Amino acid sequence: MNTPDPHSRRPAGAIAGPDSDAASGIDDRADELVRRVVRAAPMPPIPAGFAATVARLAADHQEQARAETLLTLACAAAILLAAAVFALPGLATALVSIATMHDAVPWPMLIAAAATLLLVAGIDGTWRAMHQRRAR
Amino acid sequence: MNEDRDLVGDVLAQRRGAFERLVERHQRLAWHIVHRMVQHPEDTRELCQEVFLRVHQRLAQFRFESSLSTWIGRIAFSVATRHLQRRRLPMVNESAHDDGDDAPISRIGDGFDLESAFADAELVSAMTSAMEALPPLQRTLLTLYHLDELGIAEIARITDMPEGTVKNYLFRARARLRKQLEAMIGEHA
Repeated sequence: MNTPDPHSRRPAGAIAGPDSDAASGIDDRADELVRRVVRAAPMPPIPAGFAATVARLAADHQEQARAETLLTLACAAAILLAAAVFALPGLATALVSIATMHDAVPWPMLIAAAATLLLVAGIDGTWRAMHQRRAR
Repeated sequence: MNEDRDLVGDVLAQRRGAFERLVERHQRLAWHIVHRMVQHPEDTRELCQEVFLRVHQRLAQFRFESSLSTWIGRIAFSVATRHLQRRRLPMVNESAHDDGDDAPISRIGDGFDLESAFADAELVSAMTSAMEALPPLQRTLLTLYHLDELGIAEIARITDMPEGTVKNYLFRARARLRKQLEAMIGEHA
């Protein structure tokens, strides 16, 4: 059974009013009666074995979730495999085309363009770093 | 707090019986919150199950920023609140009788005998009915304060309301019950 956390328990005699000073003037006996009524108010008992039932339900849910996850993963894997199988002939043709194009690609021009881009990025980075140092 | 950590660790490690122990330790608070909110035994049982299933699902996200009981209480309060919202039941019913007016109660004066009042079954029964007729939020706050003996700060964390608002609702609820008591004593006199 749950017992109130001793650290969170209010100090004895604490008053819950909008204003403690004002509330302290209120008839304590009436408040005590309210307190007793609240404590004595009927509350249906927690069903016997409630904790065990909930624990079993939670285990079932976890098991079901695990099975659903596995099923989802299996479906995803099957879809990916099917997609790969269907795409394979097209991919093979594309690979062959790329291989034949390899010799026709203007490599010197591409390498020169990449080097220019790197150089520009380097200059930009250096300029930014200098600018930031100056701003500080 | 260390017990909470050990218990949470055991549940996350899927140790046998750990979750059952967690439920046993915290079921009372969840039951009180949910029952006072919905006032229906069958709904209370189902919603409490839902509360602990959520606790089980989200326990890995619990960061020990509050006590475990506060965290579970928050979940219970939110599950019960959503249930009331689905059924379009008001959480707070600000009626004319709920204006927080707490004028001195003359009849509950020197002649008022607490023990004989509490021994008066009719009076206690009427007071119990009056408590059950309070809006769900006020009933729950009274229960958390008087039955579970939680502090205002913890009730505020559970209900996600500012402490001042909790105090105000408690004050209004008790003022309303005191008014009922005054009326009943008046009838008896």
